[in-house]
Amino acid sequence: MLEIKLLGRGGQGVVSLSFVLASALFNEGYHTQAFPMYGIERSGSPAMASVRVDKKPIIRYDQVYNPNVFIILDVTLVKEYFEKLKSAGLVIINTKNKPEDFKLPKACVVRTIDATKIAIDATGKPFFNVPMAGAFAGLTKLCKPESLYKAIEEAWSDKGAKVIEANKKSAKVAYDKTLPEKGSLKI
Amino acid sequence: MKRIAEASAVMAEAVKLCEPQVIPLYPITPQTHIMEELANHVNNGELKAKIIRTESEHSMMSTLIGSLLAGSRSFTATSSQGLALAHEVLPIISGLRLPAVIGVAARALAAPLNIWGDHSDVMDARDTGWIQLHCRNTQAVFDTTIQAFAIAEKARLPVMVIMDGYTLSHMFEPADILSKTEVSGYLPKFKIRYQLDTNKPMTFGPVGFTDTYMEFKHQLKDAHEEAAKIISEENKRYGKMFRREYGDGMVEIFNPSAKQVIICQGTTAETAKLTGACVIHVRCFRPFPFSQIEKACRGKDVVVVDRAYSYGAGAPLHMEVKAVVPQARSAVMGLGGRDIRLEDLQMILKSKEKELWVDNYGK
Repeated sequence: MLEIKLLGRGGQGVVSLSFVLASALFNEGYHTQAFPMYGIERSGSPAMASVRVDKKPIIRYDQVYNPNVFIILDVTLVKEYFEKLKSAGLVIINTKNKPEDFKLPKACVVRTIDATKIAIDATGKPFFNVPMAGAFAGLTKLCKPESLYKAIEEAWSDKGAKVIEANKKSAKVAYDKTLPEKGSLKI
Repeated sequence: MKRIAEASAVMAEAVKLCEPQVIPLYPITPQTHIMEELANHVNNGELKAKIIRTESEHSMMSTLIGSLLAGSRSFTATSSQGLALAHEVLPIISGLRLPAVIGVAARALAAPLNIWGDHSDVMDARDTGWIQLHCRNTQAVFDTTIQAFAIAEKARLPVMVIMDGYTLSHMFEPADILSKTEVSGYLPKFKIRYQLDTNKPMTFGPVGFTDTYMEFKHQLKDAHEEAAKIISEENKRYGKMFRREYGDGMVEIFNPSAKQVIICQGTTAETAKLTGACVIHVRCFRPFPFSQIEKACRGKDVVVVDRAYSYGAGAPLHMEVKAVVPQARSAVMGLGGRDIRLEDLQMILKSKEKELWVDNYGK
């Protein structure tokens, strides 16, 4: 089983991203689960969601504590969260900075991507959760861009073709910008 | 067809396929997504139902009485303070023997204010004459919702379809969704024995004086005994048609040969399977499956997980189980959305405590 944790702030699309990832991996034939960890929702407060992926049906309904992958949408949360972190595998951060700029536990493989810029270039708006999904797919190669496109189409079916196409482009740019990690992740 | 969706949306999908004609609603967390989805289905023409926006859950539940008596299949959903506010109407619905079906995203009761999941709200409603069915995953939410309409209409009793607030209501996972034709093949057309009819005037809910009230309540007791059989029959019939059964309809027993037993309700039953113990999921809390539980627990070490408490007495599920399994221990867990981790369930199996409150946040 692979466990993914997503960290961002209310309004940044953390929960939507968890649904898109679970849906994309479901399209690849995996059993998946996505769930938010809600507080009393307020824009700007830390928000978290988790995704589980497995080859067999998932029968766990507790929270994810030791994720294999961490996706961080808001760089200002890195320090606060990682002080409490015991272990982590791949950490993907939305930032202009380089991986070596972050002082994280040695066990972490840190990868950075300027998802905000990619999103603004592709869609004109800072929908940076979508390129983060693209970056996840590019780094892990666990889902093909087509599976991700299908998930994007389903998630934003009410937003119209223009928005969907722009977001697919945004996901593809991030996918192409990221190189796969060597043998790091298995389900 | 297998699809990935949020359990709340899956419940709304199941309701849509059962074609209710009236949906009174009032929003409350974490049930809101069920109503949002149903409103979407009505808005885009997939469901021809009348949505009635009410000013409170009390009015919402009262509206159900009117719509059911007028001969319309009806549905609504609520949680926590909403169910508590509607409480007064609950025994009226069961007393009138109306086949209401409601979804409950089970949540804690204030104070302190808490929006997260536990079973305080549904346990608070356990003595109101309603059938209470719990779901342990998204697939069960879909199947149980459809069965609930068949059960309610056959038993002439109202049914609560319960899912753990957030843990299940906000869980996005795959479920097999039946087609409209399949559901119509299972669920008979809505029929009610006595309904409002100007050509045949009748009085509903008159005063039950001291000479009749007790007889009405005796009939309700008998109806629940009959309902246990109907729940099992409907589970079997559904299983035959769609190859998905939930134990005998009343309880589900997993890994029955294990020496230790965890008895629980809702999603905890899924996580508990990973401990290797025998897991008894009490799918139906009212009517209560005493004999099945007694039989499955003979000579075993039993621990009952409750997500609610009857203050001054004990944990409600444990109290029922203890009546037939005197050696059963009690573990109170997951109040107000506290996570029920696999480690916690392993720990309660090892413990020898008669009553344990697992309030070990962050440990």
